[in-house]
Amino acid sequence: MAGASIVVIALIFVFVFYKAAPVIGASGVGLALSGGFDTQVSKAFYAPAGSPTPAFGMLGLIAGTALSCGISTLCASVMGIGAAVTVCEFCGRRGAAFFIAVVRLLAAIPSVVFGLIGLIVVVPLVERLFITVDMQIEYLDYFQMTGRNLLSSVVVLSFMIAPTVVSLSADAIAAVPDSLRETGYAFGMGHFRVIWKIVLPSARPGVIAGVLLGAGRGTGEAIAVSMVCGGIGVIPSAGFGLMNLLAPTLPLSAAIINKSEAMGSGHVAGALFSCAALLLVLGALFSLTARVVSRGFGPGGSGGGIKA
Amino acid sequence: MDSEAGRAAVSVRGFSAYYGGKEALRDVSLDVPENCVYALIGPSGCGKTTLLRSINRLNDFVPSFSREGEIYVGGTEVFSLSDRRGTERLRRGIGMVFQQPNPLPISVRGNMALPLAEHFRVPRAEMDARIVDRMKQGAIYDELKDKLRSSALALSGGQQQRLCIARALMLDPPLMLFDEPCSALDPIATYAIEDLLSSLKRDRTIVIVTHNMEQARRVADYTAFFYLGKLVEHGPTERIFSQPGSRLLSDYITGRV
Ligand SMILES: Nc1ncnc2c1ncn2[C@@H]1O[C@H](COP(=O)(O)OP(=O)(O)O)[C@@H](O)[C@H]1O
Ligand SMILES: [Mg+2]
Repeated sequence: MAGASIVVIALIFVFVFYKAAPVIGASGVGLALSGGFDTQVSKAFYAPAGSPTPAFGMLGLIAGTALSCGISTLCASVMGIGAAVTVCEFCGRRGAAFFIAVVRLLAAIPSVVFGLIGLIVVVPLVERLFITVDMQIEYLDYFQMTGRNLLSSVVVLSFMIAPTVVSLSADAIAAVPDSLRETGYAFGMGHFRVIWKIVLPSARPGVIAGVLLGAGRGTGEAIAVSMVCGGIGVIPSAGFGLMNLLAPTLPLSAAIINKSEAMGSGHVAGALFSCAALLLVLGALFSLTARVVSRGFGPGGSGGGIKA
Repeated sequence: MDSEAGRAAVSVRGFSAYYGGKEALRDVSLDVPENCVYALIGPSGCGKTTLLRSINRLNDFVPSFSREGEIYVGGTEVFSLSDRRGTERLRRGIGMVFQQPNPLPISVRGNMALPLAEHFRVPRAEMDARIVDRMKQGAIYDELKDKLRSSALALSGGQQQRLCIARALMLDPPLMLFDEPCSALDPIATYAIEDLLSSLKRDRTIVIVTHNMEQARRVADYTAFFYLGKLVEHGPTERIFSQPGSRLLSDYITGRV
């Protein structure tokens, strides 16, 4: 069984990289270092059959993935770890068990539902709260400012990642033996100090694994993000400052969905497979690191509170 | 009685303890003189741990726990401390070593530094000097001086337990509580800790729970024998073991209870 799944995974990698190879070859390092993906895709789509593979630049998409996933992982970690600590340390065993069960349900909600709620609730809210007509005019030359932007993507993604962070952190915190807490109390430490200096450090491998798996889910998430991201791979610019949050974005995974209508052209397909290749590598990196970290340190890997 | 409470390091007066409706200790009174080793012995479940964890009010964390009577530590009635700060200060002055060695999953040095760093701002050099000194007192320095940065979980059980003792010494507690500190250890590690106890009592008081009577005989100046939540007999260890004053105790000593 394990052997079969290894073979399947290996085949997926081979297939994706085989399909991506022409575009990777034609673009070279420019693939990761230059932008213009949106126009390149439409040009490639209308290019006459048999024309040579054009170069693509995914910098905008990479920035979109890095920003949307990075910021939302940060938000989800703060919310998620905070929630896990609150529930495990202050709500009693039964309250904690109930809350964790609810959170696990949240994690099972299909992502298209998150996307729909994002579209109906988050996007109009962001537009009403942060965007004025003056701003839209001011930035007209650079990008079109609507409620579908990086900020909305971050909000939706945060709520999708948080359950993973909460449930793995809570497991790790609940697995910290009471004897370790009592050690702290016996030294005259208060509850908050015990949480900060003893519970969290002991639970760290599990908490980090939760954050990494959450980040992995964030990078791979496509449907929900494609519904609220705006669909244009704008490369963030330092000059815009916080306004970058209100610019449309297009992470790698959302790009695959967004541009899939143009897959009829072999070159576009190759470009999208390049996105997929990068996502595969990222995803594998996140889950491998999560594995290694959750195994903890010390003899027999009992470094922290998680039963891997 | 009050003067007695003043001289004793720990003074227990008419103390009863309950878990919900279940009685764990009934009307226990005893005095632990200063600078001695005082052993609590008796069969499993007779309330020894309950008494020990009442002295530093660690049983506050057991929701069903309740009690009657008083316990004086250094003249202060511990249950009269009503605020959080008061109990935390009380616990700071009482070192506790548990049945299972419980180092934190951080480095040896991190474990040693924690109790002190928690309460005082200590310059690094001073902290290091203190760690070395207390590890020497805990008879663990020679073995671990090259492993200060490695994980405390990588140590053997005996080393972990001595590390925990050395860690408890960081705050210079005048009173130390040991709850069957050797029950998870092999005989050699056990002897190392027993040696340590006799050197530690020179300037502090030690209360130790043990169900190993030979151990009580070897290390304790005084011994109290508990049975089913009641204090049956207490006195100098010599007398307790050579002339048990009750049938129950002599049966226990000869292994018939
Ligand atoms: N947290 C607890 N909740 C309920 N009952 C307890 C608890 N701790 C101890 N007891 C009960 O109190 C009695 C005394 O226990 P303990 O003080 O641990 O005895 P000893 O240390 O002498 O073995 C036992 O009957 C035990 O079952
Ligand atoms: Mg016990």
